Amino acid sequence: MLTRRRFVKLVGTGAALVACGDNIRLARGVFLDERGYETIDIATGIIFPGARDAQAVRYIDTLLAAFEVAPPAIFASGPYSGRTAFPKADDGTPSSDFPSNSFAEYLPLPRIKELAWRMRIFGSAQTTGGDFNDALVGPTVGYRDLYTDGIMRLDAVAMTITANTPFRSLHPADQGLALDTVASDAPAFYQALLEHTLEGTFGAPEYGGNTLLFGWKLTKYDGDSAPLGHSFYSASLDAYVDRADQPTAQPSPGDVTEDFDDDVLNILTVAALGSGGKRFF
Amino acid sequence: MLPSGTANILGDDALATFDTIVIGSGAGGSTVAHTLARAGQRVLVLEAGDNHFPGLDDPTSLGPPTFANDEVKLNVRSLIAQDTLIEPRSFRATINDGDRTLVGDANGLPRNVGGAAVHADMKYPRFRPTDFQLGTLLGAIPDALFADWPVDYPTLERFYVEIEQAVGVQGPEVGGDPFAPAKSKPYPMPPGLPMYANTILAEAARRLGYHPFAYPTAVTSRPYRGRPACIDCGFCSGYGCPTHAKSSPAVTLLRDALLTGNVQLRFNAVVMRLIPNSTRTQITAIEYMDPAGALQRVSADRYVLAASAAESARLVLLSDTALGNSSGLVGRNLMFHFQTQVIGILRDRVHGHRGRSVTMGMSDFRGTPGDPNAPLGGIIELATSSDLIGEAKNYALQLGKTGDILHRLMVQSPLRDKLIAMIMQAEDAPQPTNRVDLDPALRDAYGRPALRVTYKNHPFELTARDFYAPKMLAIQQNAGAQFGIVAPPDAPSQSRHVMGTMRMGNDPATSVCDRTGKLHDVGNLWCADGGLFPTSSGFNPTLTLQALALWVGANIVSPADPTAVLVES
Repeated sequence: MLTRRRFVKLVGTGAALVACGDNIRLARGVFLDERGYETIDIATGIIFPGARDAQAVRYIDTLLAAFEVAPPAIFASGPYSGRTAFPKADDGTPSSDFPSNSFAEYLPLPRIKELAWRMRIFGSAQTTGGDFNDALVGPTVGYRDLYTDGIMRLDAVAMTITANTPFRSLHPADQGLALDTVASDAPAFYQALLEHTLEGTFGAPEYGGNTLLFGWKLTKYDGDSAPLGHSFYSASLDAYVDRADQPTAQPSPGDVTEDFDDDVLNILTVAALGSGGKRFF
Repeated sequence: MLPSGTANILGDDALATFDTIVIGSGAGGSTVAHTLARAGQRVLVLEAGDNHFPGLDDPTSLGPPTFANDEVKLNVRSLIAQDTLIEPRSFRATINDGDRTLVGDANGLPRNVGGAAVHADMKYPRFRPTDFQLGTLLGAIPDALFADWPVDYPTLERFYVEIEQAVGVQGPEVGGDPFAPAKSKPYPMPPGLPMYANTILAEAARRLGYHPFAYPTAVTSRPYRGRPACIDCGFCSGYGCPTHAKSSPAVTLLRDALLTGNVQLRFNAVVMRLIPNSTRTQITAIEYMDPAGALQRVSADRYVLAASAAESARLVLLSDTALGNSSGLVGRNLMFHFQTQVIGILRDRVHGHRGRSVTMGMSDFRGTPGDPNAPLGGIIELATSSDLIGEAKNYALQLGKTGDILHRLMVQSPLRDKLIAMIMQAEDAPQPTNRVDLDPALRDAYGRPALRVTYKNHPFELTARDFYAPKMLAIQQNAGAQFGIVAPPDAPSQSRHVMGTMRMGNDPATSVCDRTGKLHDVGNLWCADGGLFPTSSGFNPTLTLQALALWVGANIVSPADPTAVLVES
């Protein structure tokens, strides 16, 4: 079996597994070929504008190819990514000592967890010992089959919109229509695509997406904060000190009251009134 | 040297004979194992899940865990949460719904060394003295089986102290919950910093005459017994702690137990069944599946169920449906805390992703037994929202929003960065019809019949919800919320506070276990988890669960004077 680092070296491009912070843009993935990669890339951008900047497709391909590496690319290790430093012992401000990135390694899977993730990726019927509930609840269709089928459907629908034109070459407005059609025809694929798009945009970059922390910066989200954290117990003061730039107990410096836009206000009004709640102003 | 996890064994791997086998390494199992091992018993702990504390049995250093501030690993991909493909559960509201209406997750709890407390945010309030007397105080209520506990608060008080000190609980000495019972020893640490989102609600509650307080929490606020003070990293509820500041049973009592040299812990070891003698009066062995998938048998003088309320009852039923069941109550009276969530949305960012998930609470809505003007609700957690992927999926899956509007929702963040929440953990009426049993057809990956939950709310808790939800909305309005949302009751319940099923009591006709946790019908089998609770109270259960597990262990090693095991008071 290949270790993770060795795998990256062998595939050369670092296709499935990429160090955090890089901005390599790929033409294809490890599982997804050029057509599939571009098709899914475009589809993620329809679900969430920004997903293409975050390269959510790379997260998806990393998951689909998880068992091409050992340990499988399912659970990043811990405890730290190295994005924040250890706090200085005297005042809790960042030191120049950063932990190594243990997120860049994967955890070995116990036998039974490997079974579950093989069922998810390859399907319960295609996994030895994975079909134990198929007669009762139906088979678990693997993500690989869902994506392969979804890509085929997107191209087939595209051809009905513009002759001889695959999904990736359609006019952007038509791409949205094609995805809508496939969403109703193949809901399991669409559900997987939707969830994976958001995971790939907003999850830790070691899983392949959230390139250059695009998703975290967009949402003013701190991301993983340990070992620096957001507060510090000072032994000399025998008291907690709040972190100045990202405090726990105070508003963040520079934050101002922000009005929601009209569409968001309408969504929240419907949600509140529908629950027996209230819009107070 | 190989890490100790390589062979899926922690502790002394040379131990081959055992006085006691404990099933489960969570809050209950860790506590019992620690009590027995300290008294000199050789203890085998069997844990179904994996281990993420590689240095847990290393006497020189605990070493780092493999937990991290990683939403994909812990929440999305269920590193420790019960995997619904491995162990699917089924659910139905009543027996009139057929075999099942849902397959998937129904109140599953994490599978890993340290149990569910590893993922909890470790809110550690005590129950109140009257919570142990609701059978008497409430009287008969149709379709419910409220009962007095066979142990009372004064008996358990020093056991509470022992756990608070041994694991390390932070809490206020001044300005705490004015309705809480007196304590014979102060908390070992003061509260850490409050979360900004919590202080906004606390100030509003105070203006309206309520009494918010810093929540007693099993997280360090000072260096404590070799563990560092919490850094408020923000990945608390739902996450394993990356720094060991969370005083979870794994890094406290379980580690202490392993370091006695009297304990061996086998993980990725799934108990299949207990094997009773022909009269079902003794357990003779346990059968478990080892990490490679082979069945193994192991025996001891006594056995302790600590696999969680749901799984302990399931194990008894998997073994023999008549085992320990002359009362017919094994698996019945399943309770969850009935959660009422009232959400406020501000126009200001409150960064709920920093801090310990919940840092303040109030118990003004706990109510008074028998008072129709103060129905029994529960403690209120002043809470917020932290998970970013979770927020995005809420908009996309619950509200059906994608594209440009999803982008604007994520940037404006009404349901995360501007959200302040109140969660009431309310008393859940025990009902014999609410139960766990074995699904007739669904299986888990180990080949065992799956656990089925049958559960429907009683008017008791629905009435309390209707009574308190408007008061919670009023607090949100006072806090400056632009919107107040009353989250609909969830079915199946999303609560991870799982209780009942192995009810303790003095009468073998109306309870499964006696007042020491031993099954009435079986000479060498005890329960030491939330299954024992006759009623749920309205306070987070883990501290009381640990105090009770300590009580069970103390009665095994020192029946004449259980308090003889106590060293902290």
